[in-house]
Amino acid sequence: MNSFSFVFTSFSFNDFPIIIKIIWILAAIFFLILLFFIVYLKVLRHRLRVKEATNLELEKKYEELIITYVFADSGEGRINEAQSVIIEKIKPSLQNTNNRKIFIKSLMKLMGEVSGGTVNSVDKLFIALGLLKQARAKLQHKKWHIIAIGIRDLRVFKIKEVREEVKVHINHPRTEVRTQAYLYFIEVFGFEGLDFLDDLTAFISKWDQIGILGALENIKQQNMPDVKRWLCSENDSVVLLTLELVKIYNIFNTTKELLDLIHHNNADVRLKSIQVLSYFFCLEAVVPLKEIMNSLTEKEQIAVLKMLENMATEQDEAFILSHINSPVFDIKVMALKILKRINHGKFLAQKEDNKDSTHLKIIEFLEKN
Amino acid sequence: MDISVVLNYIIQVFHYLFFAYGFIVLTSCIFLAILSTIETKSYLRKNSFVNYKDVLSSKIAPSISIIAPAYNESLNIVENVRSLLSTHYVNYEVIIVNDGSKDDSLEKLIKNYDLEKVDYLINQKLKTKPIRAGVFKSKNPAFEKLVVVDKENGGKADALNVGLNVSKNDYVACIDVDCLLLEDSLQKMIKPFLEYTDKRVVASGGVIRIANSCKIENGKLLDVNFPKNKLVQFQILEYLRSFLLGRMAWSRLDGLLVISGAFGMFDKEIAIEVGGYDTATVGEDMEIVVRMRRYLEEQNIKYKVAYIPDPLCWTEAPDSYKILTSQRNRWTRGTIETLKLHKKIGFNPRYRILGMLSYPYWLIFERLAPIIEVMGMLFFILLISTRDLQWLYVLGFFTAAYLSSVIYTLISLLIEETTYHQYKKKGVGLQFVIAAFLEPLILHPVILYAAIKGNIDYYFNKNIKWGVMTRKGLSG
Amino acid sequence: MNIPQKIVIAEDNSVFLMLIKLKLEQQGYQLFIAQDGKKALELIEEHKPDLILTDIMMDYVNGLEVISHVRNVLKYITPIIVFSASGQEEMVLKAFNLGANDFLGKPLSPSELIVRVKRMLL
Repeated sequence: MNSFSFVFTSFSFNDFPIIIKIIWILAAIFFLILLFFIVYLKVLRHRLRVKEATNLELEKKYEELIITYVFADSGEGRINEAQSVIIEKIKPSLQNTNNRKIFIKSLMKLMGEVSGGTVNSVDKLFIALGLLKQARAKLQHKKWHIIAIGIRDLRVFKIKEVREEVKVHINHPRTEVRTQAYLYFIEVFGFEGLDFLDDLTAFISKWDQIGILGALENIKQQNMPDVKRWLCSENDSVVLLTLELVKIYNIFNTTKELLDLIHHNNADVRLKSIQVLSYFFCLEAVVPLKEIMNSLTEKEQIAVLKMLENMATEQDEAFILSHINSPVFDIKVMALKILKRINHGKFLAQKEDNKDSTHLKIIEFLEKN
Repeated sequence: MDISVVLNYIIQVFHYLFFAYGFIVLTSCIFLAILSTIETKSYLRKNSFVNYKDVLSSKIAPSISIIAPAYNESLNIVENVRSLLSTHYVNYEVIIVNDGSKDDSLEKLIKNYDLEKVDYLINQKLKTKPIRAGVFKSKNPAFEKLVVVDKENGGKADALNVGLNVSKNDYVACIDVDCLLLEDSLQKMIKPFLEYTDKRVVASGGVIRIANSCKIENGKLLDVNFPKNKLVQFQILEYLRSFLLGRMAWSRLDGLLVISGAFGMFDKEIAIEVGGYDTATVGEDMEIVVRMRRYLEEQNIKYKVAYIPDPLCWTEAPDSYKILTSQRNRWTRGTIETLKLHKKIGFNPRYRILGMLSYPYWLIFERLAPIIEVMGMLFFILLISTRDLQWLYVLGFFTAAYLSSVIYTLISLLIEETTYHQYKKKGVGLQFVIAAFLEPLILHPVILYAAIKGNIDYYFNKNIKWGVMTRKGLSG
Repeated sequence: MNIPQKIVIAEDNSVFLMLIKLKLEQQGYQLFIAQDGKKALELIEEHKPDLILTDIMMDYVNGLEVISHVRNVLKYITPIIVFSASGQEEMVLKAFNLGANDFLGKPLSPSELIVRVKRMLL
């Protein structure tokens, strides 16, 4: 920074003695602050180094204990004696917040990788150590990030009985809390957990959409609930998410709803519906879409043409011809491409009809590809 | 009236002006430090919950084009491209724009990546220099994400515009080809675009870290070292200050004016709507952000320019005074040009924080700072030659100013330690402190010289060549 | 029982690695563990194992590179099982093309792993 430049405000004025005093007092203060910062930097670096080393050691110790615990599991569904000994060993050390953090981290590390009996065994450990009680208490906390941590822990360890307590938070003002709540429902209850969409008023971001769909991908049992009611949701983001579900899980019986959605007042919803209909190869969609074509946004028009790329027939020729001179490059390309397929003769004739260089360039490209 | 009375009066006015300037600089530094601390804390807290894994492989994750212009980069091009191809994001492509290189860059790429010329329909949304040899893609499926475009030379901005034309994706990451991207950089940079629901994120800027002396193998950063070269050390401090303090604070205020040309991500639609990069300026990276913001303010679109403080992009900093001064000279001219081009927004309440805070700050404390500093010096010399100076006063000012600038550096170091703590090795702390004390004495005069030279070149040397392609994107 | 069969595992998650190591040792195999691909390759060359288990995503040399090195450079025909997380289908395909013999999706059940290992080593 250029704080340096105010140096030059220093000039001799015998009538400003007080200024000299102020300046030197300021300099002295700065010097003390500087000294403090230097010492602090030194201490901080040292502490970080030590902490990193001890944490690493602690992590290793906890990991070993966790593994021994899991390994001792007899598969009978309850904690045996060998396991109790380990629990007693871990328990007192968890009074310390840092230790607890590291322990939970190690537990989570394992949870992400294993399935089957091991999961149940780790869950029991989580409960026996009193961590469930703590996580649950966090849900009532005032600070948002504590709530988020609470939900995260309950989610990772798949705790079913807190459903109602978590549900309170699905419309929390902080997106981080909401994200954790959404994921809780999916990861713990699978597809059935999607029910939270019924009461959702907050807007699901694209990022959360990705997270939710990612979580669903990990669910092995695919008992998709009836999604039609969400396609009619007042919350546009719920509709958008549902459209993704419809596409990914091929929910074909939603065509009627999809056809209604092309008249939706949200452009994103319309666009997505067109894309899904196109993906489903839905012939019924062609006529209504052609009718409203001119009222659609550029992106939607491109989507409609993409749909017709596979579905257009000779009957659509007039419609296609009306778009080959569109000022929008992508629309023009799509239209010419479709024309080439449905009426090759007319396509070739385009070379004569329009001598515009872009036009010819596109035709030349399409002829070769 | 006596002439000496008038002179005295003038001197006094100047005195107060300089004093006020210094005072504002000091307070704004304090404010920036506070804001940056708040923003850093909130960023880290927010991100402690984030799972970046899902976006990597999600089918609905947006596709991204990395655009990297290259001019005579034959020496390292093959390796650099390999590094760009190894990020963990799935849905992306790498567009290398060979900007009329006179060396064998293209041949090397063709040979090493098994490239062949392909038919590629380019939508010329932005006017650019024509394509030279054509568009190339690899025959080897392992490099299916690579696109190489060979075009006639037109400068960095023109090459980036070609990249914008060629890209078929919604988001573009514009980077310098010699940058090393960490594997998780794309998912971190794309996140802001996906998480806001009430406004449109149009750009996100990344941090540039200095890679000199770091251990790099196969395009991967293995070990971070603090270099021995003092000049590079000083630049590390400078970058930390700029990226961790300055930009973080401006991001809090939503007043970011610059996104580093070395690594920034854009909403392609808006970037093209505003006309792409300006080929007439040497500061195209700053200019495009200002132009985008101006446009969005004028259209009354709710938008945001995001900033990601994680150390994602590493690059070599100049290690000679000659290259450094020519780089800073160029940055200075870039800043002057951008501010001049968009003087309409300055002090204009219509542009809200952009016009009332960002622009004035940039003008007064970045653009004019070197000039004011030199004027101060001249004034000082004038005083020495005309009247007795009270040395205690002068010395006091010098000391206070010097100490405060070192404090500012130390604050940024403390933030670095509590957040990313990249320089873990023992003994670096001491080197940090030594460099912090030396930097205002050694680097600052060099930077000042370069800035003044930039001003002179801008006003009196219009036809100066653009100089070697070295990185830029850091100011303030 | 005669000489135990040798298995090399490459996996960057240390807890998971330890768990499967114990589980497999319990079955009487001799285990060599690596937390990255580079170390795994060293172990493979040194011990010439009867089976290789590798994660796909790892720092330094990843799973695909491990497979490719084993098949193309070392020219071993040792059976290889890869672990992959969801969403890495593309990588799994590449792994098979490079010469992997089987794959297990994560999260995985240790007992299932044991069954697959046994079957592979019959």
